[in-house]
This record gives sequence, C-alpha cells and structure tokens, in this order.
Amino acid sequence: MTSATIIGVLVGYLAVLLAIGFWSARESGDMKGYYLAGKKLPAWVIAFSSNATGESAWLLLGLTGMGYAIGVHAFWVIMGEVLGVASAWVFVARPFKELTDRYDAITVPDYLTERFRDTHHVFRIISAVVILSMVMAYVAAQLTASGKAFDTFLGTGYTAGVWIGLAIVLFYTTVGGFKAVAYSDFLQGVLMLGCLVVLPIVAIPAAGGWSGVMSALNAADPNLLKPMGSFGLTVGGVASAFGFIAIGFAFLGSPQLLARFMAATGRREIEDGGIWAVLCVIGFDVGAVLAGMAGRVLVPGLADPETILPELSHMLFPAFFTGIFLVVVLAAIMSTVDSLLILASAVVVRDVVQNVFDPGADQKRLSLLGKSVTVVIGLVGIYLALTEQRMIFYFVLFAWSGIAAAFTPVVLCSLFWKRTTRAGAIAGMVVGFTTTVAWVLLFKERFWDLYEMIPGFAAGFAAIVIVSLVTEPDAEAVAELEAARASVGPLFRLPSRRLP
Amino acid sequence: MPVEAWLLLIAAVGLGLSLELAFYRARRRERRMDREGRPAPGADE
Repeated sequence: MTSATIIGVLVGYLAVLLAIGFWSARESGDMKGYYLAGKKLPAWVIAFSSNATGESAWLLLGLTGMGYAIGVHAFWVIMGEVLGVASAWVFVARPFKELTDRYDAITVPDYLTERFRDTHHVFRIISAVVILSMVMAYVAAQLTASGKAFDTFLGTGYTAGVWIGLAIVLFYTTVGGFKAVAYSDFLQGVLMLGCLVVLPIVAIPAAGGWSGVMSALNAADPNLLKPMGSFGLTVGGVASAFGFIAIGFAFLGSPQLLARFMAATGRREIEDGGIWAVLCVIGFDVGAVLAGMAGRVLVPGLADPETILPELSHMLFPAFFTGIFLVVVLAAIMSTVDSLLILASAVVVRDVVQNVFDPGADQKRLSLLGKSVTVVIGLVGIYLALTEQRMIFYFVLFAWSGIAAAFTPVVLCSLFWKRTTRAGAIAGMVVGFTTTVAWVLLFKERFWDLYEMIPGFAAGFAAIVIVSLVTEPDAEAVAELEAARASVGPLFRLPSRRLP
Repeated sequence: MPVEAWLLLIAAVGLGLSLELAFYRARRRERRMDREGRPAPGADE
C-alpha cells in the first residue's frame, strides 16, 4: 500500500465534499434553507442520505464484526433494519410529511409543539436536553473514530486526525447547510453501498466459494450457522434476536432521520424514495454480514472482530482500493457527524433561541447564528474527543437508543392514535428516555443483556397510553390530524366491488 | 448453509422488501389510472 495513492484518493474525496459545500451555499441563507434545504430534496437523495445517517461507522466496522463473530445470528439485525426502513417509508413518512408541511415545521420539536398545541415550549426544552446531551457524545465518539482512521491509514497522529475530520465536516455543513449535508450523505451512502456489495463478492470466492465458506464456518463452530447462534432456543437467545431486530426500530422516529422526510420536495418524492431506501439498506446489511462471515474464514483468530473490514481490504484489494475503503469508513463517520451537528444546531437556534427567547429575530441573523452554533457544538465534540474518552464511551452506550426511545413512541402515537394528549406525549418522551438510560445502567446485565431500546419503547408507549387516557386531547388538533390523514389517503386502495 | 438459516435470511430481506414493493406498485397503479383519467380502484363513483 502506498501512502501517495491513499492520499490521492482521500484528497479527491475531500475536494468533492468541499465542492458540495460551495454548491449548496446559496440555499443556506434562511432557516428553512439552512436546516431543511428549502424542502427541495429529490427522492434518491433523501433515500440514500437517511440510510447513510442512520448507519454510521457501526455498519462498516460493527456489523461486519458481528458477521465475523456470530455468523447467521446477525441476520436478525438485517430483519430489523429492513423492516424498520420499509415501515418508516410506508407508514410514517407520508402523514409526517403532510403534517409538518401544514405546520410549516422545520424541526421535530416544532412538529410536536404544533401537533399538541404546546404553548409552554415543554417539547422544545425536553428535546433540547435529550438531543444536546446525546448528540455531543455521539459526535465526540465519531470524531474519535475519525482520529483513529486518519492515524491508522496515514499516520497523522490521533489529535491531528480528529481536527482534520471535524474541519472538513464543519466547512461543508456551515457553508452549505442541510443541502450540503444531504447531498454529501448521498455520495457517502453510494460509496458505502458500493464497498459492501463488492466486498463479499470478492471475499467469498477468495475463501473457497459459498460452500467452502459454509463448510469452514461449520468446522470452526457449528453455532455460526444457526439462527439462534450459541444461545440456542433459550430466553437469552430470543432476547438477543429481539434486541437485534429492535436496532431497526430507531428508523421509525429518530429526529435526524425524520428531517429527511420534512426536507423532501413533496409526497411523490416520499412515495418514490422508499424502494431506493429499502434496496440500499438490504445491500448495506447483507453485504456487511456476509463479508464478516467470509472474513472469518480468510482471517481466523482476530482479537478484535471489528477490524475485519480493514483486514479484508488489505488482503484482497490493491492500494487504490485500500484508499477507497479508508474513504468509505470516513464517509460513514462524516455522514453521521454532519447530520447530528445540524440537528443539534437546529434545536438550539430554532427551538430555543427563536421560539422561546426571540420570536421576531431576523431570518439571516438566525441562519448565521445556526452556523455559529454548528461550529461551537463541533468544538465541544472535539474537546470531549481529546479529553474525555471514557465519558464518551459511557454516553454512546445509550446515545442512539436514547434519542430513539425519547422520540419514536411519541411520533408514532402522534400520527396514528388521535387520543394522544399533550400530557401523554410529554410523559412518553421523559419515561422512554429515562427508562433507556436506567436500563443500561441498572438492569441490562441482569436481564439477558436485553437491548435497551425494547424496555425504552415499551415504557414510552405505556406512559403515553396511560396518561392520555386520563387527560383530554385538544379537539382542534384531533380535527387537524384527521384532515391530514384523510388527505394522505389509505396505504393500499383495494379494488371496489361492483354490483352486477 | 442450513435450511433454517436460509429461511431466516429470506424472511429478513423479504418482509420489509415485500411491504415496500406492494406499496410502490399500488402507488404506480394509482398514478397510471390518474393519468388515464379513470377513477382509482376504490374511489367513490
């Protein structure tokens, strides 16, 4: 592997990101432009960018590592993610888009505030606390990964790697806003998909073909080919399988993913984008797990299974492609960091500054403030990445599931259960989030390592239902929900039966 | 790969994909009927 080749590939990729930043700059002059690309994104961009944002470096390093470590048992993750993405696009996206357009909402807290007629800004304050605390840790963790990637592949040193990664993301995010984030995520999603489709296609023949891989895995450990893995059909095995499926639940209501639906040009883009998103996530997940399984045959005995992707790229591809694989790992990191930075900036500027403290603020001043806040949040992330790695690890344990458990039950009930009340929704957010954190800290180890999103969602839904049943919904909000749902129409129209 | 592993893989990919495909096809059919000026299936006549 030559450093010059890798640097060449990397510089080319970074130049494209910077160009996307400049190209998108015109859209970022006001709030809707900066945070939602003026609601003008086409279907294919929202499809790929939502998947790239949802997956992060975990897909490339974590899921390939799962394929390596547990084999067929990792297929449950594929089931959860494919079902989660398909359900989000089929069930959630259209009514959510319709309502957010009616409310002229820019953020998810905007939507919840209008949907539940929250004049006291309770949703905005809770959202700000949840999003800022979780996003800071998640951004810092991704920057840590960026520092390690630059250092491993180019020998920049960890600190320089962290700064380089952040500087590039901050540039295109602040200059181009959400449009730059979405289009760069599209590019990054395509790169990730290409890598994960090509990798098993090359690795499986190199490992002796399909039957050769299966025979070798069976000889190494027969549990690698069993759906319930080493657990067998036990409570622990079922809990593990459900936990893997639950990873995909986050696609139904995490605000960084719902922002894509809000930013679509119209309902038609939502209807057309779903099939791209589902095919993309199938390519991502099946490719990652099969690459990990083939990697177990090619590189047995790895101390850390999550290094299988770089190991395979070194073993199977020439230097140019090794550079591509570095770019793909960085793409996965950056596509998550940029979306989280703009999400956190939106909650500070739109939800707190504009709506709580200064409703009459000028759009250009707010957009400028949004860019400044994006930089500040990035700098806080870098401070944490350089000084507080232990704390980051601690928070990241429940960052993805904490955001999902705070928002998903509330968003789903707000769309599909008209009896949901403001008090019920607030209770659901607080209980869903705190249950997730409490589960990780106090109960997880004692209950078969059950993934925290399951108790978080269950408690969130239970709190919404119980509190809503003892309070009254706003009649005007219910009428508006019914009108919006009537406008969206049914999912599938069955052929009418005509009388002879 | 054992049969049960194949079944899991097919279910893992097929459940979400068939939901999305059914939705996608239904929307395309509706749009085609709209273009041709015919009432969509199930529409009030």
